[in-house]
Amino acid sequence: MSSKKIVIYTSPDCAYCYTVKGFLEDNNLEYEEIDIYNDEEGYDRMKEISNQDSVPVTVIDGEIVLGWDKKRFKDLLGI
Amino acid sequence: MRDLVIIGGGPAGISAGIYAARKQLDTLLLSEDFTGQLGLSSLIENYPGFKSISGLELTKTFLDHLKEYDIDIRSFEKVISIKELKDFYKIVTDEREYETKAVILCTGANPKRLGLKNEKKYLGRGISYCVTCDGIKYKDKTVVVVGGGNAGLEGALELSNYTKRVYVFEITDRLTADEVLIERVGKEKNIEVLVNVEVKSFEGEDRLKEIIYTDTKGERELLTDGCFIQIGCVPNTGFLNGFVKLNSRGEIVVDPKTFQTSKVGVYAAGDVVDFNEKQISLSVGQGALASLSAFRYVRGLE
Repeated sequence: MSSKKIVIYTSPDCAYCYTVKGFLEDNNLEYEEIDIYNDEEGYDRMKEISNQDSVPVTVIDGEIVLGWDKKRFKDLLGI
Repeated sequence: MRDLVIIGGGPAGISAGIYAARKQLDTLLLSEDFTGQLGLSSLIENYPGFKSISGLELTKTFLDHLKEYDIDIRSFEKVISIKELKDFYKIVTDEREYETKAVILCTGANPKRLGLKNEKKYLGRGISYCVTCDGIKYKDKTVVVVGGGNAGLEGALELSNYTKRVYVFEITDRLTADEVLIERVGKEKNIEVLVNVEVKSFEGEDRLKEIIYTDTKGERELLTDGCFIQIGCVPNTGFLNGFVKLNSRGEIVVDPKTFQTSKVGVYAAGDVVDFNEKQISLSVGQGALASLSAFRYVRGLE
């Protein structure tokens, strides 16, 4: 089991966000979710760290993943 | 050895799964993700039983229904290839291999890119393919929707609720969406439709700032904060590598009575097949028919 800190920036009704969350849940991984539609500071932070404004942005122990990229998730999470 | 492997977890695959499970076929459903045409739809208002629902909510509703049944679902597995062996098929994914008597291909389609200068550079910096995901960030701003079909106009209507101005760019001389959507767009004061428009390039610095396009009068430019590209889709058949017959658009050719492909025991349904119309209700019906045909094949029925 990975003990890495995972934060996902999402928006409601975003299929890519749903996919990322589903993948983490299938692998029994806990994550913090920041809904950028309801968290303006979170949205600003996401833009700052990812240098773009599309969701989802996932931060795994400081490493940033843009969108749904299974291979990168598996590599970063060691699964 | 499985009775049936369904590849794809959109409306066609889920419908095929429900019918297969009820026929008690030993079935596996493989789904790479939930970002197909349905998942990315802003609003669905033409699927019976749901007056108005988002694509993602309908996806979740379909999945909940499927999970009521005894069916093995493996999400996040990508099919790499299918091989025909003596009297069964071998499916190779990025995780493992499966053997099955029958296959239903429901791999759907992905959003089409324009393939223009800077399109990739400004993805997430002004360009998006998903209004539902990224639209609200353009509150009180000016946006362009490229594409005058159903997806384009649905997106434009959603954006018109909170943006300052929405331009719809349509490459042909008229909008191709359903009349009801065209009528609704016509009533929105902040939506302007431009026809005979072809986008040439995206320009800006860190972010998209302007779109260069041509119309009947020549080359023009439009300052914009964002651009949503909604120009249809391309079928997900690249992994098949000649396994079944495709048409010139890369869609799978099927027998309309059974939805069998050019291979015995292999069926296809949904946006990936060679039907002119792509609708959720059609995909659901095709998935059911393909599943019933697969059942007859597996059980050796006429």
